[in-house]
Order: sequence, then C-alpha cells, then structure tokens
Amino acid sequence: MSRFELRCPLSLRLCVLTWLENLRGQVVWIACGVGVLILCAVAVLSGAALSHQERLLDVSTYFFIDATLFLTALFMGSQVFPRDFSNRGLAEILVPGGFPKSLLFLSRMAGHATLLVALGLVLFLFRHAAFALADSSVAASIAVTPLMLILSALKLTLTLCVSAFFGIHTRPVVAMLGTLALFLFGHFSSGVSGLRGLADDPERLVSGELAFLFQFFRIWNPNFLVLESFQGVWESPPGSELALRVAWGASAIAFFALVGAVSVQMKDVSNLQANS
Amino acid sequence: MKKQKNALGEAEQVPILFAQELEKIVENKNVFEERSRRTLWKVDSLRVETPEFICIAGRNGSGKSTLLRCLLGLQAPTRGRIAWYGHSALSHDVLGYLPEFPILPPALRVGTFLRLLLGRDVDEMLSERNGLLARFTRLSVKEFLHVPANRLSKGQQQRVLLWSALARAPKGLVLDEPFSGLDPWARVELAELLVALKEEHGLFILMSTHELPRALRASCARTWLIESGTLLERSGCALPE
Repeated sequence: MSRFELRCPLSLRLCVLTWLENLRGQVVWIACGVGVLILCAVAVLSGAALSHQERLLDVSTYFFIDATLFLTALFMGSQVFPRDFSNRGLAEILVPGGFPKSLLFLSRMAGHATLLVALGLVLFLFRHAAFALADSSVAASIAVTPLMLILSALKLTLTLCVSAFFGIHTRPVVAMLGTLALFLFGHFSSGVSGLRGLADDPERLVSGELAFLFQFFRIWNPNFLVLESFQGVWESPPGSELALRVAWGASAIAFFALVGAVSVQMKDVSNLQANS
Repeated sequence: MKKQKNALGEAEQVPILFAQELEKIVENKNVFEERSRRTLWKVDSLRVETPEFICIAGRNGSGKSTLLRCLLGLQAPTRGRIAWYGHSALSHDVLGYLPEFPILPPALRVGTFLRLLLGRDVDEMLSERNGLLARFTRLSVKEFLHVPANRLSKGQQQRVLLWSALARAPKGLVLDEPFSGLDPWARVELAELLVALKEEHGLFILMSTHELPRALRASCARTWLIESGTLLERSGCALPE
C-alpha cells in the first residue's frame, strides 16, 4: 500500500481539485472577507439601526450572506464553466482519455456548489459568533439558520447553473449582467406581491393567490419563505407584475436550457458513430 | 493486435483509427458580416492499422488542430464517422493528448494536480523501476512537484502533461504542435523520446507540426497534408527541411 493513495473515483477527485483550485484563488477569500466585514458591521450597528429586533436581525443578516453567496456564484458560473464547455483546460486532458464530458461538467459543478455551501456555513456560523460578541442579549436565532442555509444553497446552485448557461453562449460580463438582471427582477422581488397580503391581513402568512402556487415558487424563490415573515408594508411599483413574472419564467427557462446545453455538448461525442 | 469478426465471421484486425467521409465546414456566424462557409478539410477515409508515426502538416489556419480535436472527440466534424480501436468513443486511457497550449490549473501545485488526476502517489510513481516512466528518467517532473503551475514555462507544462499521459500507459500519443516554443535542446530531447516510444514501446503517435527534427523524419511513416480544403496522404515526411 502506498504512503498516500487515493481510492476514490475520478469524479470525486475532480470535486476536490475544484475546491483546491478555488481555495488557492482569490474569489472565495474575497467573498468570505466581504461577508465577515458586513456581518461585523451589522452586529456593531444592531442596536442603533435595527433596534435589537431578533427577526429583523435574522432577515437582514440572511440577506447580506445570501447576496454575498449569490454574487460569488454569479462570478464563478459565468467565468469558470465556459472553458470546460469549450473543451479547454481539464477537458482537453480528460476527454481524450475517455472521461465522459457530462461527468466532468457535473463534477466541476458539484465542486463549486459544495464549496459555496461551505462558505455559506462559515458565514452563518460567524453570524452567531459576531452577535454573541457584540451583544449577548440579542442572539441570532439558531433555529432558523439551517433553513436559511438550505435556501441559500438552493439559490446559489440555481445561480451557478443559470450563469453557466449564459457563460457558455456569450461573454462573461454579459453572462453576469444577464443573470443578475434575471435574479433581481425574478427572485429578489417576486415575494413582494406576497407582502401585500401581510399588510392586508397580518394573520395570514401568504396572499391567497400565491398560496396555491407556493409549492412551485418555493424552489425558484428561496427568499419567499424568509420574506413572508417580514413585517411591514411594501408597495411594488405599478406595472411591475408582468416584468416580475417574465423574469421569473426566463430564469426557469435558462435553468432547463442549461440541461439542454449539456445534451448538445454530449452530442459532440455521440456524432462519432461506431464503425460497423 | 485486437481482432474483430467481419460480416463473413472471419477474424480481422481492428484498426487503431478509422475515419470515413470526414469533413469540417466552418461558418462565419457574425451577424454584422456577410455569412460565409468554407471547407476546412475533407477526406474520404483515414485508416491506421499498425502503431506508426503519422505527421499532420499544412499551412497556418488549414485546420490541423481542428482535425486532431475532431479525431479526439473534443470537437464535432460537420460529417463523418470516427472510430478508435473499433469504438465510437475513446476508452479509458487509450490515448494521451498533449494540446498546443497546455492549461494546468494555475494556482495549484503540480504535485497536487498530478496526484488528483492520476489517483496515485506521485513520489511512488517516480521511484518505480518498471513501466514506461522508469525508462525515461529525463522526463522526470520531480523538480516541479512543489511549484504552482503558473510559474512553469510552456515547455515545462508540456513535460508535466506528457509525463501524466505516459503514466497512464496509453497505447498512443496525440500531440498538437509539440515543438513550438521549445528551446533547441528540449526539441532534441522530445524528438528522441518520441522515437524511443515508437520504436521500443510500439506506441502509435499522431502529431501536427510545422517542423520535424531530423531524428523523427526517418521514423515518420506517413504525412497527412491539408491543402486547399482537402486532406491528402503522402508516404514518409512531406515537410520541407
């Protein structure tokens, strides 16, 4: 037995390689630093700005962490995947060696997604520590943290997929802007109409028309579950409903189109027909 | 040599490479320019029966790298069939590929990258006395193991990738412009290595290049020459000296 021998499949080793690649880079560390700074600021200012309200602290810190992860996933998806899709880099080494291209893509995607989830876990844990240090009488709610982490993980995976789809068809900057626009209109705001229900009837968690579609919206707008607990009146701009729904639908289409893009890439290999 | 049964049930040798009615057409899809199409290369059939050294030559932009990438499954030809050792898709570690511009993960140390890629301890592989790597000690990558890939030159990265390709004991090597950017001593070393791989270990070698060192010219069995959109086959080395 050798001193150090990895007995695991190449797909898992590619996940590890993706982790190490990113940890030796700058993006993840910048995101971590920004998240930590923001959480420290919120913790320090919690008394003056947020009036020590636990629910507001939960929501505000969740949004900051979520936004940090979202922007990091946006950057990674639009910059990194296009190279693998155009058969450069690792694909050039592995595909001629018989490694399936689709498995390469999935392994890289899994590596990026799990790394970002780990970053989110670090930030959420830091959140508790920061508030404990700032003011022990107002501790961030521990019970809601797993839900927030799951919601963030869903969103960043979705963001990775959508930005990767755009990234393989256009330039990275355009891909980032397109994904950002879709998510700003389709996701950050799509819970807004539900808040009107809160203002009308504080007893109800969601508005009547959205309750029916709740189980479908849950995946595409992880913010929804957090927003529904937000107290207050929120008026969306007139005429924005159509734009919100179009953006929501477009991001859903982009997600499934990515699956189609993977299939098209696999068609490159399937074009080589067997010699009979 | 692997054999398969033909339509009459007789055993016949499986070709290393078989490509039929291969064609690649490139289109200009820029919406601001007039659409145009041109045939990069076209050939009725390509067949390699035995491990030999084949050179792909042509002028700049003729499609040498594109041909290699299509043969390896990195790009799709416009039409045609390609089979390696009788299969449509490449099997595990049958071929090693050295691209023209090696791209190693820049921030990762070479030793870490090789360990994850090969799934084995690199130090142990370097100390092995049997196998392909033990024969070519000059190809050793020991001095690079603790160096990040972005600090290596093109020739050094090439050496790392070639080492990792040979570590998997392939049946053949496909190289894209391996001599470009190398110093004269490195060119001679690489040429001698390739000759030894072909003559002593029976590896099939397919290479696209603008230049061929003298040591390799004698070993070159055929040249696939891309000229005016057609792929022609010439015996021996058809590159000018």
